[in-house]
Amino acid sequence: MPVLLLQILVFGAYTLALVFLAGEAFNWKEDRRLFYVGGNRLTLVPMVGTFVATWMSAASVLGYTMWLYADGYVAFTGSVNGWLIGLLFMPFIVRKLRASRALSLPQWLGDTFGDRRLRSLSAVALIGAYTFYMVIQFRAFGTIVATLLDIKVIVASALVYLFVLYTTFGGLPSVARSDTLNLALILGGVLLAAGTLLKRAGSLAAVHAAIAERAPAMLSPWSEGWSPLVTTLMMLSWGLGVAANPQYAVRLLSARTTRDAYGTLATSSLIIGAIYAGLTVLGLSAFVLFPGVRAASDELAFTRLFSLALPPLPALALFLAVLAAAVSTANSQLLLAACSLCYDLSPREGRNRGDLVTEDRFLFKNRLAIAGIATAALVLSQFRLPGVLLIGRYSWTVVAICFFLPLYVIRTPRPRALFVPLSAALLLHLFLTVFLGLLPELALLPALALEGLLYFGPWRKKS
Amino acid sequence: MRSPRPLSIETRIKVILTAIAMGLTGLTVGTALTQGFFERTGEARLLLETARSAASGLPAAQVEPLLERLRPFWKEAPRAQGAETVRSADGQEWRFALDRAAIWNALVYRQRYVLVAGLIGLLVAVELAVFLAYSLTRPMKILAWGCEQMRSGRWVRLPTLSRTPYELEALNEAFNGMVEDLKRWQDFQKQAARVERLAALGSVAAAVAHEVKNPLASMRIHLDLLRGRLPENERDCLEILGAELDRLNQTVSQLLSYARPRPPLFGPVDVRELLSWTASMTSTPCRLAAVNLSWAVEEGCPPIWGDGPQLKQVLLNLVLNAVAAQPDGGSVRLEAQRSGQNVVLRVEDTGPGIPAELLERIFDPFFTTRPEGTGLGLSIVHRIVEGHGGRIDVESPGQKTVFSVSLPTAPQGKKEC
Repeated sequence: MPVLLLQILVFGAYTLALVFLAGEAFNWKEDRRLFYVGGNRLTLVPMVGTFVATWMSAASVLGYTMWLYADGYVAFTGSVNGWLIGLLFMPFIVRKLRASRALSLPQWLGDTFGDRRLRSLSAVALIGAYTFYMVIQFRAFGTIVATLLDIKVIVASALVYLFVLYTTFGGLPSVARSDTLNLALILGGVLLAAGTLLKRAGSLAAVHAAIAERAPAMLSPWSEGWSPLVTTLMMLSWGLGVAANPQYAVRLLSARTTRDAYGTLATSSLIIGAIYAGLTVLGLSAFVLFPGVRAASDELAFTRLFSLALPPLPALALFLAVLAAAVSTANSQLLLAACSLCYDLSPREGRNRGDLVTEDRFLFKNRLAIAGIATAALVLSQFRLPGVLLIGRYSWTVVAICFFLPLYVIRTPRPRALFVPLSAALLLHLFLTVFLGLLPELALLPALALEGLLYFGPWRKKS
Repeated sequence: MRSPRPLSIETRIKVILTAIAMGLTGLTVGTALTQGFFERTGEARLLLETARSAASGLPAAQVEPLLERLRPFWKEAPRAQGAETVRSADGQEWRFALDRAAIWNALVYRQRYVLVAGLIGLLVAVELAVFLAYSLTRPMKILAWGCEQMRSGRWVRLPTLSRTPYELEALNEAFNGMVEDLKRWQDFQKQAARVERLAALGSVAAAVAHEVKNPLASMRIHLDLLRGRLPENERDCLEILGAELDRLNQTVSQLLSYARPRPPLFGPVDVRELLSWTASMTSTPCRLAAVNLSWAVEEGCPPIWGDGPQLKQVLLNLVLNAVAAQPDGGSVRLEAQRSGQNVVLRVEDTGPGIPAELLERIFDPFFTTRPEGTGLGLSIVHRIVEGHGGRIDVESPGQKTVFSVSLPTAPQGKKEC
């Protein structure tokens, strides 16, 4: 069978699986709690599915692999290591979050500090961060499929746009179901591709030996360009960003029990570890077998490299894994962005459900917001924007500024005391990155320090 | 064993539209590919025939470049059955077999946009199915919610949905019509039950009152006779006895007037005079309770068509009730104004209000929240107003209570009947 036809058939099969396994978009008895946090009734399997699939974005699968292919283990130190550090933080916020019964993290923030402005500010930050982060997902998948099928990027991006729209219309229950399917595809695709490539390369030891001979610097966890301090700071920033990311916080809120939430973190860490191990094998083996593949973008280089390095089926499985990663992350972010827009930024929307007609109107508004934000991201994905990881850096650092301190550091919140520190921190981050050209991760730390200083400073008013 | 949950409308529509989208895509792409394959095969054979006839007249060295033109669709094949042969003039042979995979690849590549469009069409069909299902199930969902509300005793009116098909809109309207009819029927049943209850109560009360009233009259006469025979210092006891007898007599009279009301003697009643009389009659109790009574009549307010003494009793009862509700002082406002073919008399007080759960019962006979009350005052008011073909409403939004009595105006030129 022609490879092109096979690829289209596989995408078609994925479409059908998503349509019929992800369930119904409009639940008969839905309300805002069900739509945003699955009615706080998600059990372990969908929880793990949605947690890991959301974690594995196109940036993880594609950005990390290509960074590893280009620079070696510094990619692990500079990104994955930080993300995993973030995962270690999460058990500490499970009880704190679940005690609140909030439907979103901005709501939790506003309620905790008794400040409506905080809720609005963090909601605006989230809408911006997630819309741009969705651009990564659309662009990554669009470029890969456009290269594979030799079609225009906008046509390929339209595919992922429709996948994302469909899965998000049903709220978190639909996202969780589709994410479970996506996780199976990510895990299967990455491990199959990694196994195939490792078999070609011989073994991991052989790969290491070949790298040690050709480019020994790649085996070092520290970058030659950056000092270990800068790498460590970047790693830490990624960690803080992940630890405070509302995507994961909302999932911890959605678990049926606290035990399920802890179980999700434990199980997910194992699966995430396995996927990163697979991606590491892929990046390093590809370097040994097919060094020097370069292209205008990470997405293009990834497609060329693995079309070359892998037989059609494992390559297709890997590309499908990127699609699954893009869809699973984008739908989660889209849902949160819509929540921020329709719930957190609408002062009249209460926490509790209204009558059925009110709920129906409210959720329809959410669906319109979902379509609007996804369309904006699709349009933005067609413009020339910074690379995959750079957009991610901006997004996560903004998120970390909004939520890290209140989630992990502040034990006894003082009413209305965080708005000024948080605003000042966001402004400082903007100034350092845009006007002084500092890396977003490096700008995060002074911004957080300023936020902490203004909040805990000795001049603060005693409440 | 639980039977499996039936498929939802959304799933059914999704299946149908997906099947249609897949069928159309399969048909379009399948037809294009099959037709393309036959055309390409025909072209390839034509190319081979041309090359074969040209090669037969050329030496081997000149045939080689000619054969290159066959490459995209023909591949060199070993000697086998079915292989096509090209022979040069000097006798060299080349064998070729049709490269079907290459033809397919080229065709699929050429049709790739159609294939992707099919995939997009499939997704669009699914999204459309979802919204189609939504637009169909939304009114049903609201209807089911309305039925559930009704079952749990809450009267609801379904909202008018925008962009709903008229068939579902009709369903919605039918439900709202049904609710209104049911509500009217329930109100009617309540009213009928109340009338029946009051009639029974009235018969008993009338009999009892009649039996009590005669001995009371006799007791009163004998008490008056006794007063002249007793010394001055012992007459106090008779005074108390007399007062209690009067009170008993008043209660019995009230009961009798409630149970056997005399039919109203209709005639024009001047509203200003009615309110003025009420104000003067209630001025003493108002002063004692530190209640400020004020009254106003709208300019040009027409006379009421009713029974003057009965209407005076209506206002008197309402104002005295309002005064009794404000033992620590307050205010009572008495107003009259025209409203269409009626005159509305409003009695508004600044008392603590009537709890919502008691509002329905305040016109029931013997229902009272005051220990000294008979519970007949408002029942008599209600009966008189009904007897006049009027209507009485009460509102008690928090720290005030407003009674509104709506009575028909006197017809032009009519005197008395």
